[in-house]
Amino acid sequence: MLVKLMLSLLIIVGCTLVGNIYASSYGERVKLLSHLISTLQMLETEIVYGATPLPLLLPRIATKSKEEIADILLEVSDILLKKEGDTFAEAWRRAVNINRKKSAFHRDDLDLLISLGNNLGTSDRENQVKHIRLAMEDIKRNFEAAVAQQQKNAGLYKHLGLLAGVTIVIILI
Amino acid sequence: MRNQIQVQNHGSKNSSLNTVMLLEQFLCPELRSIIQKIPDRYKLTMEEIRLRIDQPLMIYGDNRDYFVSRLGEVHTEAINSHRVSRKNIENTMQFISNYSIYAVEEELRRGYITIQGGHRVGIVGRVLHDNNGVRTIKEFSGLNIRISREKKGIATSLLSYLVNSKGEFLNTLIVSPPQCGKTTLLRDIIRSLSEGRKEINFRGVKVGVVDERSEIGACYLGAPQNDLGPRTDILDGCPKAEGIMMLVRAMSPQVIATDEIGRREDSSAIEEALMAGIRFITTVHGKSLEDVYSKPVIGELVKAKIFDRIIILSNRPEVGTIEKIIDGKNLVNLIGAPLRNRMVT
Repeated sequence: MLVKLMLSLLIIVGCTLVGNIYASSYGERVKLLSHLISTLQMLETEIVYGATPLPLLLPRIATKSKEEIADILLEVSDILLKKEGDTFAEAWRRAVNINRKKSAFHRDDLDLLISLGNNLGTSDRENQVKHIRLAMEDIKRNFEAAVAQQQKNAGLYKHLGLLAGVTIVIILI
Repeated sequence: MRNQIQVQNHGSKNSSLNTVMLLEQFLCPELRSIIQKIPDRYKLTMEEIRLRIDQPLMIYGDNRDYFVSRLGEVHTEAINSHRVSRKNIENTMQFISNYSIYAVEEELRRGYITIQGGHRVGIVGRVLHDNNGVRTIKEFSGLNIRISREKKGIATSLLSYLVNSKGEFLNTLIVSPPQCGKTTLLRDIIRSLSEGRKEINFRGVKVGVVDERSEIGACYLGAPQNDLGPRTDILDGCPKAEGIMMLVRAMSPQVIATDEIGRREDSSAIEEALMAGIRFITTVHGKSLEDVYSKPVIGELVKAKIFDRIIILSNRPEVGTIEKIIDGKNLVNLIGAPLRNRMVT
């Protein structure tokens, strides 16, 4: 009897945890997207006022960015400093793809990032600002969608986890 | 015997090849692999790599140009030439601008970028301009990569002509047609002045350089890529007239060096500096003394006998030949035969 009780408890706790993990992944994406927006803000400022070249600029911004974003930025500047003949767009795309699996970013977040990479560094300051602003707008839209989704789904997954656990226990008993 | 001075040969073969090798990394991979295959003897004398959209890849050296084939062979005719594509130029621009066009906006406005190593890349394309002049260049259509070779030691033998019996430097003007090693010579004279030359009992002096076109020091990220000596202060990218006054006020130079003097305000700045007891060295485009006389600003300075020494360069029999050293006061040529100073073997 005691064993049964312990096992049931274990199943319920386990399922609740799984539900929470699902729920928190929504929160994580929201957080990441808001960090990404502030990173782009820094990028814009540095380009407009610092006029620092990208291979030097990216590591500097990376130190002030969230880990998952910093990883991408550092990867890009690593590739560039090797001077193996990659263009900026290629290096950027490669870095985003290498880090694709490691973060809570969705596919379309990363695609937005990649399309920003196609334009970074290829024009004068004025134009760069336009490109970065545009990317920020797009990411903001994703951010708002992510917040709505979080509110809708996070609670749902948490409850679903708990309920699934209870259901399994009832069936087993 | 002053006339038989042999100029020392400092430009060793290896360093010359190395220069080209370091430069290759600024080309896009396709062009890089072609230029790599060019035979060494061309690399040694190569002065320019020319990229023109939809035209054959060319190099220039030793007073003539060559077409480069897809396999890196060098021809005088366009045989199997590699046609430079828009991608070639765009990608090369990425490496030259350090992936950041926005960071070289100032340079683009002047039409060239100085890259690491002191090489200069001239750029043409579609120019956007507004009321304030050229705004930027877009849609690049041609690049001219000018290879800068630091030739240390050219000036050593020359310096004895440029100082008086008290060991003071004399105001000097270098006259030269384009591409005859004018800036190279100026650079080496600056270094000699700054370091001092024990052989002729010349102690190093403080030199101020107004490097309006970033050509003399070739500053990259603020640091001069060419060695200009321990007592040299460089104002990079500064207009000459203002730069001269800034140096006089702030850096107490004994000698001021600039490239091509030409504007009205330059000459009054020079007079101001001369009045403060500062010596002067500068350059001007021209083939002969008569050429210089006909130029508005510099001609007047020469006629007023401001310059004590006038050095005339030519490219015959090769780049950097010193045709004449003229005493500016009595217009006597001080050397019997032209001095050759070929540095590349």
